[in-house]
Amino acid sequence: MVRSRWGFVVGAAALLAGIQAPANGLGIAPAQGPVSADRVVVVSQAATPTGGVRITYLRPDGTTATAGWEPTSIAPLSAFGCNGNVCIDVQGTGNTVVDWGTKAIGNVGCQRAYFQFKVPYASWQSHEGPSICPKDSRQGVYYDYTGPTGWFANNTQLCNVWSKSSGRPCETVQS
Amino acid sequence: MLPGFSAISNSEIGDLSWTVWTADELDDGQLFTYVERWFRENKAHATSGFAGPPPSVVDRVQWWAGGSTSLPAFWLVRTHSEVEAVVLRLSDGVLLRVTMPAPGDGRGVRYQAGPVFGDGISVLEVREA
Repeated sequence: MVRSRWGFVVGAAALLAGIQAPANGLGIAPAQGPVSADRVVVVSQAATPTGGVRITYLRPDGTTATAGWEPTSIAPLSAFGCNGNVCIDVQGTGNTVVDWGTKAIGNVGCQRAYFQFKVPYASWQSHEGPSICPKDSRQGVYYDYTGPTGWFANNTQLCNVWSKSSGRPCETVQS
Repeated sequence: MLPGFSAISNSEIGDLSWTVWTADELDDGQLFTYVERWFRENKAHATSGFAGPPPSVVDRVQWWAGGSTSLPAFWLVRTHSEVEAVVLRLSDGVLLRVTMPAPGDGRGVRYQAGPVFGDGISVLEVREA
């Protein structure tokens, strides 16, 4: 499927299918099927939340220089979450948002997305997306990736709502 | 954390910690609730959540689920005071029963959050137990 910036996709039946737990070296072993007791069983393993790559080069003079990549101390911003029938997807690093999209599951006729953000101690601001109309009555997924991007102040709240779908997921910008 | 929010609970498993935050005041009738989570070791850090009218006798269970780079998938639930437990349905078919703690604020709302470990495992549904 060629992804455009906004539209409506039919046939996405798996609600929240986009949520993926990152490979992080940890594992959980919950009981299969309904559990009779209140418990969440966690199997602890060596935690390596982020891996590192280091390459050492040998200089002609015998000394070494190291290049590579290591986990950054800058908090990643890339995040995805859903509430009700609405999901938010924010990509970026630190205080910079490079891509902000949203999805709404179902078919409620024509509707549009709203990208809302609130800087601490300021009022909510809202960016309105285009009206999106399904071509028929089948179930599907609305999507709109036209959210505002750029630098946001620390602790800015980013939320998405749709005009007819229920749900208001939010992320916060943190460096 | 966000100004105007209060911590409801603090939890940790190994190197992973998380805090549930809820707004002190309603914003245009909506209650904002977030789960902040972080790894102490590598400083991966994220704060996510949702907003909407507070839980009621009609809308008893409200939830969010999602993920962030370098952190496990997470879920966040808030319920009406009468809801004592919820059941999480995971994408691998597992059902988890989770006890809701005592109401965490003056509104009588119960809050709970936690990680979901495992590649590709996510929360598909949360309902009253």
